[in-house]
Amino acid sequence: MSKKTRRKNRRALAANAARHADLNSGNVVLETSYPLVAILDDVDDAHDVERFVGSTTLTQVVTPTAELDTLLFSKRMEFKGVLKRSSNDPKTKNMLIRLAIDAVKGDPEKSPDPPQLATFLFLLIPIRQREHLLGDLEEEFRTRLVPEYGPRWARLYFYWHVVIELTTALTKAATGAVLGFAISRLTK
Amino acid sequence: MANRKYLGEFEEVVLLAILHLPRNAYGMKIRTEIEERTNRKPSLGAIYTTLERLEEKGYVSSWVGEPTPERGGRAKKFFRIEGAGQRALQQSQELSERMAAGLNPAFSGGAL
Repeated sequence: MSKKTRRKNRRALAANAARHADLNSGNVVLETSYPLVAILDDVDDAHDVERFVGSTTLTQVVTPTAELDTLLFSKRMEFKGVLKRSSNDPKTKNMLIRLAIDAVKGDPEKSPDPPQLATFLFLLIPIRQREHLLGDLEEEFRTRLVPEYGPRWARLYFYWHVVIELTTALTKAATGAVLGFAISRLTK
Repeated sequence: MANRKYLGEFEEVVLLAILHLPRNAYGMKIRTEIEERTNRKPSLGAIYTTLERLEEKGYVSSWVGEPTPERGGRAKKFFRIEGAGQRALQQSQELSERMAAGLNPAFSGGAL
């Protein structure tokens, strides 16, 4: 995966985390808003991130006010300072992705949506239980796949299922057509 | 086909999965149950096709639940095993036991 793609993925995760925080009416959970975005913008040492997130932000729940903005700004500055002093650690990226996934975990409504193209393709499959099947896939996507494997793999899995169902439906239709043709020829 | 009395192997697996999920048996849960207990990964399409066939035979019945946000506003379709399904499952188990009786001890009695 290219550096650009990795950065894009991290930003997408951060955006989801931020959205999760915005939708918590009344309160803003710090763990899922600015600090995470800051973390994902400046990836560095895992221990520093863990120390910062663990001790300073993960447990705090505050009401959104002007004081909060100031607090967040100062924390972000403090955090950036920590990161600048840190060395590069390849494990950090995975840990950050895990943090971002944790942020959306347990709240399926706010997790990423399944790919629209795959959902559309699914609607072309001629099976009677399509609606329920699609609902099951979407539930699995939001409640199990995204938290466990991240949005990228979850989307691939979703596409894979559409391909399986589409192939099965086409095979059935083709077999039916060939059999029908064969029977009509034999009975002539 | 619809009047067939015996159960196919996958039909039996699906019926047993429904029995393990009282009042909460729907596509995704049934698949997870099968996956956890057998290490098989059946497609949801295969499960729904089997459920449809079992429903036609009168072995299971279904009802539609409330739409939920995590399913994109789509409703769950729950399944429940009926008396005929329980009898078919019992017959199928008995048949396996009768066929295995007298063979290697590992295949007879409670081993199946």
